[in-house]
Amino acid sequence: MIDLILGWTGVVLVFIGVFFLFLGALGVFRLPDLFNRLQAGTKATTLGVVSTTIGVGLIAKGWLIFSLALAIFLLMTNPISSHALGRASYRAGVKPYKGTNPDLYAEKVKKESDQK
Amino acid sequence: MERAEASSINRYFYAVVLYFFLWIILTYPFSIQEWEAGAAIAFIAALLSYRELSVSGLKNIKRIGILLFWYLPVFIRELIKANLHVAGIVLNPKMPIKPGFVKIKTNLKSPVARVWLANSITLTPGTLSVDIEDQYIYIHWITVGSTDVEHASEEIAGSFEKILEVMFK
Repeated sequence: MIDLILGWTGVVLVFIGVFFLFLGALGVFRLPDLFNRLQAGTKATTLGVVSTTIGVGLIAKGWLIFSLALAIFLLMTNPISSHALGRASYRAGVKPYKGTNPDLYAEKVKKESDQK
Repeated sequence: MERAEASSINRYFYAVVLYFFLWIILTYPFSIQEWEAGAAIAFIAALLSYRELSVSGLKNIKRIGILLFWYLPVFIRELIKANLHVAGIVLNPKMPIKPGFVKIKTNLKSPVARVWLANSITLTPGTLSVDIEDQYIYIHWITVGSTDVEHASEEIAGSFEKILEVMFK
């Protein structure tokens, strides 16, 4: 009985994860510039992958402890990679979408490049 | 930036505990033999790497407790809210976005706490931390609410800053 409930919870979690992963892909396709796309990509893939991983753990119980460890590592590293991508691409000259207002970061980047 | 360093022996034992726990998880079907080998390896590996692992040693175990029971529930709630927010934007045919880069100010002192704050901000609704400079974090906000530093700080970082302040006291 408990097995059955856990199994179905796992299936539901996997479906939620897949749904959010799909939304993330749609966001990357539809949004106008790199930074907005990065936002959709980061958030949707984090919840999507974590939810899918834990769901798989609940379905195949031998893997539950590994899937939890995997989820923790993903939660800790995913935002760092998106921060690195965002920062590097702004500094490499990727222009934000024209409706971006205000752009306080531009002042800082300009000040730093003037100093060099 | 002052950093309250713990003694070497304290940091060493923190590394041993952490490595041993990680070993137990990664060799999951539990067996005594695995644990013995794990303990031996944890003591050696900790000797080689405790200097780089942490500055505050065993105090981190209390932090992990706060992390699990206080930070994690708030974080999961915010993560789900963030995803529903993204879903609302992406599925809306008009795409109601108003992006901008804003700057917020944090009162957290320790560098590790600032990293945690920046990471938490990335996974909360509509915000992505792009850069960090001393007290200021630069943020890409998908629907800009306020450009004022104080106001934006409260709106974006408020809930996490309180928890992290206790955690890294």
